[in-house]
This record gives sequence, C-alpha cells and structure tokens, in this order.
Amino acid sequence: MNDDNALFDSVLTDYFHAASPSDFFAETLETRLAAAHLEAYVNLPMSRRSSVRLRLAVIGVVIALGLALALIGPERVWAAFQQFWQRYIPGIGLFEETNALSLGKPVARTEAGVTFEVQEFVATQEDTRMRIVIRGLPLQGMPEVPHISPEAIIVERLDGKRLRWNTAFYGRVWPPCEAAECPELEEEPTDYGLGYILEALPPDTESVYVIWNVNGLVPGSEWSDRWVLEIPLSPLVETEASGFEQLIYSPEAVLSIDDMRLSIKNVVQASDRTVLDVTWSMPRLEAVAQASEMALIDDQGRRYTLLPGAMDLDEVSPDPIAIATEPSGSRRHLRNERWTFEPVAPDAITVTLQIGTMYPRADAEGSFAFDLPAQPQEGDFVPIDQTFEVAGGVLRVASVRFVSGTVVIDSRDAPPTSRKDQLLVEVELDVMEQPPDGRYESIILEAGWSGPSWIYPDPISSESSGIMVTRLVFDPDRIWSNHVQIHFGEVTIYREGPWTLSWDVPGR
Amino acid sequence: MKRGKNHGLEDHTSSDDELAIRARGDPSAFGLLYRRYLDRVYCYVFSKTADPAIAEELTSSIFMDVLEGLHRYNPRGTFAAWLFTIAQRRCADFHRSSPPLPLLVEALPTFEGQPEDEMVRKDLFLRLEGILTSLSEEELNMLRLRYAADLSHAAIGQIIGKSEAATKMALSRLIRRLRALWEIDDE
Repeated sequence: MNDDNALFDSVLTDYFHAASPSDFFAETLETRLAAAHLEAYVNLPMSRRSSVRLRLAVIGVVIALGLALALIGPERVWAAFQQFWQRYIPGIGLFEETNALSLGKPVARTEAGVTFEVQEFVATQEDTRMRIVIRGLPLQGMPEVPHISPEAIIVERLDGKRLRWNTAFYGRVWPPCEAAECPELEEEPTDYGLGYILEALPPDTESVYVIWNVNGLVPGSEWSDRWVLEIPLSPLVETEASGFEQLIYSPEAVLSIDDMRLSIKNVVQASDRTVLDVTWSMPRLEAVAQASEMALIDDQGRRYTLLPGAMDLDEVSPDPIAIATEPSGSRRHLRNERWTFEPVAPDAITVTLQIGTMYPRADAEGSFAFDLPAQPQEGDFVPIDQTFEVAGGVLRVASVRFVSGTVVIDSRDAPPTSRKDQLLVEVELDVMEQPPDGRYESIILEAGWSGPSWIYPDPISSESSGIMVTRLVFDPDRIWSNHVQIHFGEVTIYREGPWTLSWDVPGR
Repeated sequence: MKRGKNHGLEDHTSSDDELAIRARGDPSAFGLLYRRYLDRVYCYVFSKTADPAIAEELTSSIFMDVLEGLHRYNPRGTFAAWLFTIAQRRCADFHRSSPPLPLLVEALPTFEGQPEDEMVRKDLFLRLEGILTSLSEEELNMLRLRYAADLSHAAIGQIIGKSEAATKMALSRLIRRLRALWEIDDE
C-alpha cells in the first residue's frame, strides 16, 4: 500500500467516525430504554407479547427516566410521597402542593385539522410536569401514525432559557372515551400523547412557552415551522371540585405469596378513583408475576373494580427494577406499579385488596430434535414422545406437525397488518403433571431455523393440554440440516387465588 | 481522530444473539447490546443526516424499534444486520420528509487538538467529500455500513440483498475507484 492509499484509508475511516453521541444522550437514552424494556417485556404476560407495540401505544408509553432523577435515587423520590401536603392529579401523579403553580385550563392551537394541546402543566418546588396531546395528524398513505420524539417539544421561559427534561412518556393514545362504545383495543389509536417531568421553574414564574417543532408533520407546514403556546401559571387552587377531600396515606401493608411479597406504599382516595402504589419483591427477575382480577372491597362489602387509565407521570420509580439486599444477605428484585380502582366510598373504615389470579413465570430449559420430512408439506406429522420437567410439572412433547396458517408481517416494507398463508410447525404438548399450586398457561418455543423475525404466527391453544403454545414459521431458506431442534423458552403458570390484604383507613 | 466512546462496561463473552435472547427478560442484556451498538448506530445515522440533533432523535427511535421488535427477533447470528435494517428504514423515513441535506464536514464536531491540525483535517475531509459526491446513494450506503457502522461483509450483504462474496467484491471495487480518484485529486 503506498502512502497515498494509506492516507486515503485513514481519512475515510476518520471521516465516518468523526462524530459520536454525547455522554448525556447515551446515558439518558439507556435509562429510557431500561424503563421501556420493563414496560414492554417484564410487566407483560406472555400471551400479550405479540402486541408490544400496541401495548406501548395504549398506555402512553415510553418512559424516559433521566440522569438527574436517577442520580437522586429512589429513596428520595419515594420519601417525597410521605410528605403531608400532597396532591394527586390524574396523569400528573402525586406531588407536593406547597407553592405549586398550575395551568387553569388547557391551551391549544388548531391548524389544518391538527390540534396541539397542553392539557396539564404543574410546577412545584421539585419539578415541572406537563401533559400534551396532538390530534388529527394525517394518516393517509402512512403505514403508522408519524413518530414524534420528545425532543420535538421544548419548554422555554420568557427569558429564553430552555427547561431540561428528566423524564418523558410518549406514544399513540386513544381520544377520551365517554361513550358506551369505545374503540376496540386492537384498533390503532390515532392521537399522540406526550408527558414530561422537567426541571423546576423559579417560584415567581408567571408563564412559559411550550414550542412544538412541527418538522413538516402538519399539512402545508414548512419543515422549520414552530407552534408556540403561551402557558399562564397561577397558584394551584386547593379545592376539590366535588368537595370530597383527597385522602393520601401509607398503610405499610404487606402480602406474602410463596416467595413473593406485595407491599402497599401509598393509597390515594379521591372523588373519582382510588390509587394504590404497590411494590413487588421477588427472589429473581424471572419470577416477575402478573396479577389479575384485582378488586378493592370495603368493610360494608362494596366492591370496587380496576379502572383502565392513562399512565401518571410519576408512575414508574426512577429505578424500576431495583435490587434490594435482605438482612440475610439474599438479593431481591423490586418492581413498582400503580393500580387505579373505582373510588372507595368516603365512609369506608377498612379496605381489602383482593387478587383473583396470578401468573408467575419461569425459564423452561430443554430441547428436542427431529428429522424433517424430505419435502415438508401440510399434514406431515412427526411423532416425538419425549417428556420434560418444566417449572415443577412434567410436559410430554407428543408430536410435531406441519400446518398451513396465517402469519402477520410486521415489516415497514409491507402494508400495515399484512397477512399471508405460510407453512407452520405446531408442537402438540400433553400435560403429564401440572406444576404445584397451578397449571400451565403458556409456553414459548424457539428455533434458530424459524423466521424471519418480522413474520410471526399467532400462538395456538394445544388441543389436548389447553396450553397456549407459540408456533414456528417453516422457512426452507434457513434450514441448514434436516435434523433440527426446538428449544423451550419461557413458561407462564396460572395460579388461582384469591389472595387478600386489608388495612384501616386513617381517621375513620 | 475522535473515535466512538465506550458508554459503560462491555461484555465480550456473549454473542449478539445470546444477548438478544436474554434481553427479552433481562434488561441488563439489552443494555449490553445497546452499549455495543450505540456508537455505530449514531455514526451511521449522523453520516446520513449531518445533524447531531436529528441523529440523536433517529438513534432513539431505532433503539426503541429494536426493543419493540425484540420478542420477534429470531437468532440467526445476524443481529447487526437486523439492527441496521431498522436503522436504514428509519433514515429512509426521515429522508422522505425532510429537505436535501448538507454534507458532513460543516456539521462535524471540532477536533480536540491544535487549530492547525483541525485545518488539515478539515481540508482532507473536504477533499474526500468532493470525491464522495460522485457516488450513487447505493454506493454511499455501502460505505456507511462498512465504515460508520463497522459491519462485516456478510452483514452488509444481508442488508443490501447480496451475497457476502458479491458485497466484498463490490466494496473492493468501490474502494479501488475512490483511491484512484483521490490520487487524481492530489495531482
């Protein structure tokens, strides 16, 4: 290689590596991804994993936990909940109301059918919280609702200083549903919701600007267009519209279920809802449980059911998958959740939390191999007859068969919700022995020869066992040998309760 | 030269596919994949956008897409190809909705060295950019995948739909052509 070639190669390499992400960006994004990971994979039962994108959209979604908030640690944030002067606002969460400023009513701008609305804005001594919705973005010709990143919205003081955000939620949301017929969850939502926790404002702030860098998303707009809303701030009115005072307390109640513990950290009893902040403590991450059929019951037998709802800005702890060390030295995984129920009656003296069913999860180890038919086609059948100990029970892999089924193509190159028929591999499982105290709910099967990743079939319920089992795509292009393997992935167990936990309502 | 920083501890013992499988239930495994690929994704996106703010926005979107698609990723030893296929699509979405982009030199961060070194570096980059403007978008993309994303020939081939051998041949020819243009430019 001559000197000129060496120089050229060096310049070429340097040119493409001359830029790198800032440490702040790298750390902030990593924290956001960790929180989003928790929401997408850890909190989700296996049977719903195929709709992670939808799930993310439903709840308003991506949680960004920033460096500053992470640095101060969960103890200080949770400790803040113990303050006496607290207030709860749906969507905003719990905050200390002393000297808090807020937006009296939503402020919006509408143009070309698109509405940009700041719905809530609360500034406390600790931080500033804001909820935004963008409606009416054009959908025609787009495979999905356009992506709006949290960086596209800026909060600016009147002196020009921009507020740095620590936490941001963003994602597609449905419009408020007050009619009897609300959209099915499987339909794609069309609005875009964003929520922010930003740095605190000076206490004498009278207004701020909220700026949306439109980036060409509004029909007829220029790439550089900015929509600016002025947000007037005034002292938070310390009254409840219904006249029912909020009651916020920490019952410190703990429920033990096998080796898992559920503790209730905070309770908010408001006129339109009852909010519980709970913490799961588990011996290992894989044992993360999903609870369902939850309800509150008061001392007069009145029952209050769980409400679906948008996520509050403070809903996830700064350290969502914290690890705690027990006095014995053993380590436990902690997971914080917020559950919202119908409002408990003001005259209730005691409240009981009831959990109907639980879905603990476990890794399922083991694999089995079989020889492929010469030219696999629908109806081909391969007997297996092997047994495996899985999560304390015993499963028998009876057979593998080839079927024709519909798969979803989740590729940006394909039209939305594309489907096609494909040769699939189904595994028939028999339950020889159910796990202790429960039964098999679902199981993930994996194989390196199945794919590609953006084509996936729905799982099926095994005829003989009733277990939901993933199916595998048979793709001849990925077959290297006619002797192929299938691995067990993760198993979910169904356990029936009920489990109950009671506490007294203070002052009643 | 300002090379990519190592944002956090690395795990050199696990393959991408092992991490991708573990990452479905273990956020720390996803964190390792993220740290392994952040600089490469950012460099690739920056080379296509020439704007640090947009590069950060697109990089965020790409990793969110990866996170969302992780449960459907089938381990085949091609995680990098899968990741950069997503990156390529994200960048294509951006280019469909934005004005033509400037070249990179003016957008690059300042070199952490002597001012005279910075001038030399800028001159060399301008000279290179003059040559790169003669390339097709397809050729430029191959260079970005090779030099900004640090991908193997096999991975690049999977992204652009060519065999490993054909990709190697095409890149080799391209580099030879660029070297020749570089020498002519020097004269």
